[in-house]
Amino acid sequence: MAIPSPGKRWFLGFNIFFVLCLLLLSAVLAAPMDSTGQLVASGIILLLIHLSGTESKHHHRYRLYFRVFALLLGLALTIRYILWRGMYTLSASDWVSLIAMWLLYVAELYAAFTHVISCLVNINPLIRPEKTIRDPNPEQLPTVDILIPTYNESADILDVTLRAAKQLNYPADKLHVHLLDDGGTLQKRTQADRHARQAAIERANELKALCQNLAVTYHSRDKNEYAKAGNVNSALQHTQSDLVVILDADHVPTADFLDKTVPWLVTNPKVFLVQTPHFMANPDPVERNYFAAFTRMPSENDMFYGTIQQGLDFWNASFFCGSAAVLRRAHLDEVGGLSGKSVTEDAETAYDLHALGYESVYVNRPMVSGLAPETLNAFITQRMRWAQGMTQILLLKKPQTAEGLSLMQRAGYLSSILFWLFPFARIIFLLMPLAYLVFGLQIYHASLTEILAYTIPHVIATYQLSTLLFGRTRWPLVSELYEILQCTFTLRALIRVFRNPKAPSFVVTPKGENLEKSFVSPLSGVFYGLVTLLLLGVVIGFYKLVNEPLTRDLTVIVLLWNLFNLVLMFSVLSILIERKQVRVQARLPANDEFTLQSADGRAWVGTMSDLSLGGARARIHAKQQALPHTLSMISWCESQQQNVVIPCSLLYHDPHTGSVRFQFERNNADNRDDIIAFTLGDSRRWKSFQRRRTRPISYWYGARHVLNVSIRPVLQHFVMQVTSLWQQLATNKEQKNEN
Amino acid sequence: MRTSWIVAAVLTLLCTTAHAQQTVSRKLTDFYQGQNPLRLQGVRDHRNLSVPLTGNKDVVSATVSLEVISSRALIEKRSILNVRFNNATIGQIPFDPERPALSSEVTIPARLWREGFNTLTLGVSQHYAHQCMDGGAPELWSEVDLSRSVLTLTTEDRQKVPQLRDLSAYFSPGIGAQQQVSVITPDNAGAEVSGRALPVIAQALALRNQYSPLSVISKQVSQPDNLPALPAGREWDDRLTQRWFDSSWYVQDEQAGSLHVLAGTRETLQHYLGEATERKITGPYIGIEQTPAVKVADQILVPARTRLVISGQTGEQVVQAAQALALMDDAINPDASIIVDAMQNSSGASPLSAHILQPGNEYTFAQMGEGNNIMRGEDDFAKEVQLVLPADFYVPESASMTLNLDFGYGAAMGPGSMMNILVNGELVHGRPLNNENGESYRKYQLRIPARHLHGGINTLEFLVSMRSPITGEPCDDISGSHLLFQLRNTSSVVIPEAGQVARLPDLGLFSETGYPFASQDISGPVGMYLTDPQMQSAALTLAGKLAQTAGTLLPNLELIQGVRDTLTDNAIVLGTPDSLPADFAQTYGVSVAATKQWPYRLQNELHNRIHTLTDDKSHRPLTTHGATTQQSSLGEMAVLVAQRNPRTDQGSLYIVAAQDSRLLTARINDLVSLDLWGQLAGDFFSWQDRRAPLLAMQVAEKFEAGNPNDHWLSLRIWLSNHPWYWLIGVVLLVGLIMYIAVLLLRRRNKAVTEDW
Repeated sequence: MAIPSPGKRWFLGFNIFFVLCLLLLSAVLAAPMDSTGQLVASGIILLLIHLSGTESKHHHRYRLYFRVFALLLGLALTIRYILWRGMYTLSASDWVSLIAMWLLYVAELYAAFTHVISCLVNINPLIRPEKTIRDPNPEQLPTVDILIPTYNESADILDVTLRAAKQLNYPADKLHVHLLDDGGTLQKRTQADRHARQAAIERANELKALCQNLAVTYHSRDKNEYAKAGNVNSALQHTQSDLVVILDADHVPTADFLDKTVPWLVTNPKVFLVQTPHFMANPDPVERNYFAAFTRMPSENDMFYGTIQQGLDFWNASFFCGSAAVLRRAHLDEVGGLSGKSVTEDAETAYDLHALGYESVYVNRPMVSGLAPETLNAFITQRMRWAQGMTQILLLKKPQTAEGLSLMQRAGYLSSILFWLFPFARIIFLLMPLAYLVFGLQIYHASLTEILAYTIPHVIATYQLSTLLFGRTRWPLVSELYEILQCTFTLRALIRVFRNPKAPSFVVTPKGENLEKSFVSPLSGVFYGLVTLLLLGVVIGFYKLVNEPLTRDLTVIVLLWNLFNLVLMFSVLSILIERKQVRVQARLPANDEFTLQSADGRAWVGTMSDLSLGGARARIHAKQQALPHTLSMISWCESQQQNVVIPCSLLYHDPHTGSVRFQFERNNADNRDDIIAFTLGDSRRWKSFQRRRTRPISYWYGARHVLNVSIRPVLQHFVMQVTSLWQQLATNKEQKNEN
Repeated sequence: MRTSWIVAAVLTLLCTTAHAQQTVSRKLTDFYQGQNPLRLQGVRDHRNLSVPLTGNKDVVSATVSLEVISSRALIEKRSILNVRFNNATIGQIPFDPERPALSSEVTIPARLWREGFNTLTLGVSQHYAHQCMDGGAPELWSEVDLSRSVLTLTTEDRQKVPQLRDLSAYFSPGIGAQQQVSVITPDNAGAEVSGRALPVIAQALALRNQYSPLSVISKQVSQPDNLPALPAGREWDDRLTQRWFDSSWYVQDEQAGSLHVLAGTRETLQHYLGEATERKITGPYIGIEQTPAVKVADQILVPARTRLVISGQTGEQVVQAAQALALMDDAINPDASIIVDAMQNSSGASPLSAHILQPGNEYTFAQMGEGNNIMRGEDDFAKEVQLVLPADFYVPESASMTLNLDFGYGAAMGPGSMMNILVNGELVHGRPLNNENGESYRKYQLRIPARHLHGGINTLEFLVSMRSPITGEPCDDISGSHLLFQLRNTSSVVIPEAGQVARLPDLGLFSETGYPFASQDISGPVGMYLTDPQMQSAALTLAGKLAQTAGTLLPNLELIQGVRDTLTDNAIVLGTPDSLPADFAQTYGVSVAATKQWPYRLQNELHNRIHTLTDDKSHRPLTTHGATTQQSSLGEMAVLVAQRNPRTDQGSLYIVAAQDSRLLTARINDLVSLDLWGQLAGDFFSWQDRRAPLLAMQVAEKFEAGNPNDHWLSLRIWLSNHPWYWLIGVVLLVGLIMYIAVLLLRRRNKAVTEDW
């Protein structure tokens, strides 16, 4: 039997002491105290959290101490609350109330547990330095296969992705781009439906031609087995490079993608994955519909890629997100390629390789821009797949007991997986106030003082910690909006998984849809029902408040809770109005210096304000000028390290202000390459944009904002629904008249 | 043979003694707990007054004089005050709008009186019109001034050979019962009798008086060297001498017809008892007897008297006899004397538990002595159920009391009919009685937060209002005689588990429960330290009141002469300022010793003014510090101070001080009166009559005393009082964990970044 070294013994003893301290703290947190004393203690702890949290944002050597101190204090309040709830508040005089009470408690337990592991996982996000392929010897660089699976995306989308892939800064002889067409499989090309068959054949031919033009290898297979995972695994059998990059069809890489990722695989042979953020070039429905927040508010993606993945990375638990990642073939081969048990093959593959002891790296630089789902339908479809896939991993792989994973890796996976069970808790939090207000069930057995001493501090501490951990990448209450929006649909999807974990199949997220006019989402029905219920709760709540003085304390609390839910639901209504999206290409802010040059050699210098694949909006410095319709735009292209000259046509010019809009002319392949290199090839552009919108705001600002946004949508929904009804009636009448 | 002779003599005496008549006048406020004047409103209204009558008196005549004011709006003939006694109408007093203030005297027939509680009902029927009258009209009122209305009662003693079962007639809250008793001991009675037996005897008699205060006068007698000189030149002969010693010759100024107590060992009592009685004392002895009168030449030297003898062959037996007197049920003792062979308490349970609801148990209303309650007719009704909880009842704030109510109401209740439930005056539940078909509930469950409860007497009130249905037609009133509400005594209350902890000092709790001298654990000795033997009467009166308050005997209450260096944990000191040790004030802001120490006068005034203005009964501690030290007297007032016992680690010390022993005795008699005792509050209480305190305030911070019997509960109490400790503990532990966590995180960080 091996005798551990003194250093290891010390470390073991240290850990045991640490666990003992935690156990002692748990015992202290379970200690009983009357609410008046607890109120004082909780107030002081909240103050300490605030002070420590503020101090931890300053850069100094004790920063981490303050951060951990604030986190531990906040978690202490949460654990104390949960213990107090469990020990003293779960008694009711009837069974129905008791069931409701326990349901609420279980939901709170779930929320508290996910909060605790989320705090632990994100306690110290890892910030990696930037590496470049110029560091290692170019001869030692591994060969790379870029795999771009496609199913039903248009050739236009693929054209951009393939060209961008070809433009990657990497030795050309070591870079191989492959298009994996699952829409043109033999199965698709020989399907029974004649129209579908013809469409598949035509699309396959079109893509083959595209690949030929761009010197890209076209792959297809016989059968559409195991969806995306099967498609990639099939291609892996026909490729040989050391590294594999998987890009979704709409994911356009910047030129430095391999430059910044491959070095991590070169220097550490145990690394199986280098994941980078997915930068969404267009707003998702929430961002677009919710007061057009795309350029002002951090997206849901920003929170995941900007904070959580870094937190996971610290514990070697950052996982594969399906695209924008480099994987080592040798390691993939060990697990037989991408795993296919779940519909989230990416996380499952990372899970398998982590369990084998391999490492992952997360490089927090947006170098791939993709398309978010445009419509709520598509958005919900995507989220349902993620929720189902993660739940499948929970049920089939059981990460809590997985062998090969460290404790914190398990916590990391559990944190990511359990998050997706939020629909259960969210529905309970939405409906439970009604159980009291409408049905008179006793859901919370506590006095007002106890609620002030235990519940409110726990809620405040939770928000304080969320702000501390995710303050830059998530606005207060916005996560609640995302959750409410998804919960009813995702709940049904989750129930299906719990019934049969192997049942769900891969559903491709529809992308590239256009919204020609604003309309009320067809998903609104269930939310109308919920709003009606919550309104009913408010009315009955006020009635109870006036007429039932004996329960006024509890009624006030529950009524406020219900009102909070109602305000959130009103805000969700604003998301349910699908705003029209006129541009085919999403425009992003830009501040490039450029020169517009006419055919006769005259030139105008200006600065861009936004930019897309299609064109740009800018301001030229010279006023009172007459610009010709046809121009050339000259600007520095970072990805090509040279100036690009792009022909363009003027769409708008205001001589007084110098404001111009012009459209890029994509009339030949070189132009197309230049446009892509200029607009999508520079990762600094994405980084700058991301920095611009990831800014912390105060909780009160967030709450006020939600309140402000919550009122108008109700009227809008009413007007739009009435208008729609009126139009339908008018149409019906016209049809009758015609008949 | 000798015994037969004595009995015959006594009977002869009884027959020849004229029946003494006593006349008693009592204000009606003595019989009514509600507010004065008694206000009667509406078309019909009535109030019941309970008039107790002791069992050993026969009523010769009785009248009640009433002072009434009625509304001028009432019309004659149809507006009448009915006076009923034990449900028989004894008087009808018509209201006269021309003469709204009236005085009336109503005779109560002697035959209607019965032993125990009699009900005097004052009911009105009031009308301001002959038809189409609003029953709730504000002008339908009349008032009876109970403080000026007087019940006058002439009684005579019921003559018979006394038996022990008659004790409850001598000592009861009824009219004619004794409010004062002399307890006589020989001067050589010994410490056992004076210290231990007398407090028990005082308690035994006071317990029979129930709530009515009993003033105990302690007297010590000694055997005279010579017999007194006889009048008219008569000489002492053997027969007369024997009769003298059989009589209560040692009693000088006792009221005729009253009972006195003679206590001591057989040996010390041999000169005070007749030979026959003395022979009976073969063990712990309780006897009641009529002593003969000594009459010489038409002059009564010693009147015939009734005495209760508590004796035994040893001091311990006297104590045992006294305890038996306290615990025995008079009704099952038809003898004149008994010898107590043994007393054993097999369960070992505290006698307090007999009438105190124990935490963790369920009690039906029937078990609490409540009957089924039926309310009829259109009126407002109140049913009060007292929940007597241990004085040191302590529950966590999350605990709940469960009420399982069995109640029902009849059909055709009108709008406004309702039942409200209050716990200690706080509304906890309300329910409209609005089902037109009536409803009946079994186990109607209410969970009431236990924070509404406190140690001592808690009041559960059911306020029921029943209103007639409205027809909607003018002048078409429904009488409401059909209205019915029932609260069954199968209803129950579940008392939550609780620890035994009280916050002291609290004179309010003391006045309700006798705590800390009466607690669940009454095994601990309680010393009543007297700085002057003359204070014995005051001490015994206080002991009796304590037993009344606790509702049971406090067997370990002991009178101790002088203040020792070591006191019992819970102790009462009766003293004068000069005799009180100075160290008592060391841990307390007030000293009533020779050198007085008072909190600043101005602060007192301010404090008291605020109390008066705001009617604040909470008696929060006076938080401002500072005191005036002065040389002064207490004058006519007495002071009761409750403080943490400065000479022991735990327990309380109660000090009662007055300027001298006479004043102290008088003030104690004031203190135990119903008026003043109920006003005890705070930890500092001073008074100089029985009307109202001069000052009642909380001077010192309270502290916890008792035994939670539960570590978890102990921890809760401790942490609740010291949240800072918990906070510091959490912050320190979090700090330590933070330090370790940061070390581990840095170690991890180093491991991750070393190959970069």
